[in-house]
Amino acid sequence: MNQPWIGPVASHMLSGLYVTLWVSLLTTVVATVIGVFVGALSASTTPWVKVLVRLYIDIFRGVPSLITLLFVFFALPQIGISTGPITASVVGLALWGGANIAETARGALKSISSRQTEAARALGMSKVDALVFAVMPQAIRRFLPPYIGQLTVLIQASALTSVVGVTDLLGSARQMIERLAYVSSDAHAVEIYCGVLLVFFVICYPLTLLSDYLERRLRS
Amino acid sequence: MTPNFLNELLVLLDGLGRTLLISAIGIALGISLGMVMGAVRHARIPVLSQLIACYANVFRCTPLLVQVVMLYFALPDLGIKLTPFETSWLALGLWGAAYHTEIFRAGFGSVNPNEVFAARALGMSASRAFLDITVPLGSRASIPAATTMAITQFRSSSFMIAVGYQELTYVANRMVADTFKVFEIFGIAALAYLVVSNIIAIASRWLERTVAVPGLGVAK
Repeated sequence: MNQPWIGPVASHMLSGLYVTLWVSLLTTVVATVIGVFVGALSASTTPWVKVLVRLYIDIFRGVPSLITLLFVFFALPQIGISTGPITASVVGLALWGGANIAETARGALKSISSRQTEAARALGMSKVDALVFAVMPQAIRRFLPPYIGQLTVLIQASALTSVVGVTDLLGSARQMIERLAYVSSDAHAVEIYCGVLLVFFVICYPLTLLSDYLERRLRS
Repeated sequence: MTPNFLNELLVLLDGLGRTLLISAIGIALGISLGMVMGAVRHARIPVLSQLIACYANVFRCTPLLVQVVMLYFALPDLGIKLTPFETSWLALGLWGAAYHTEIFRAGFGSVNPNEVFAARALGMSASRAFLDITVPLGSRASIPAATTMAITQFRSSSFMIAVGYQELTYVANRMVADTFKVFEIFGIAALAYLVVSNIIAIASRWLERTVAVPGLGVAK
């Protein structure tokens, strides 16, 4: 296994992996904030809030993640905000992921009986207090398994950033293959892409197992 | 309605046609492979069942985009050359099959075992009982989840931009890069994805109602 091409390829892809992890982390945090906030808003009884929440969730869940990403990438400069492709990707993916997480949160909140809210209100809690301190702690058990599943989807979606030119793990792999093809007859494309697959697998498989485990524990 | 705009609309429609084509083949391939593999998983055929479980885990825990890029750019090194069109439907089908396998396995597993006992008691062989009782009932139970996945496959056909297949997202992206009409063009593309997703969902609910077995699942 001591081949000279591995060293430089590995070091370049390591910097790509760093970008992938960074994008995944940022996207996850922003999407979770959006998702939980919008999910909580869905419990509102105000008609126009309900309509807005439904519109946001249905539109962004119904459109490919790549379309929202490309849209943000091209739209931000047009409305006068110039950002790099990484920021645009994070915003685009988080808007899309946030809608998916919001739908999960909405379902989890709805699964808790309205009696719980009524009881909390009867004890003198405000509407927000009842939601945050009575309903949410009970809903989180139902929320977690699909939420963790969604995280693996978001981490995988970070690979889409390579489409707008971010040198993430996939982007760095493509660059190295092009370079190797230029200097030698063998680009080692199979080995390099298998390495990319392996990295994603190592990150996402444990999360899938955790999600399955929480799901099973919830059912029993 | 300038003739220019009409022209752009036609180009987008052309892209939508290609999107529908690769989605249809990919979904059909994914569902048929998924049914067969789900049946093997359900029957717990040794070795084969474990291999399929590995297949499903690998395809579900790695990004579709990396799989697509790998099929197109790495397979030629192993002597397999695919066109962008072939790559597109094959990648969608193989990736979708991993999810459909789990969906149909769960569907076959949800069939009341008493139905199978009754069939066996009437003298049906195990395989006959599986084909005549478990498959028809389990497939019906799988319709909602399989539809959700089929819609996900349809939306994910946008990833084929990575291999240059001229589907809707590719065409829209090109057009935006040329004309900077970000809102109009991505708006139309997003609308097209939303409309087709909803048509698939409505068709599926119609199918579910039409093939429903009267009385089944009502009395517990």
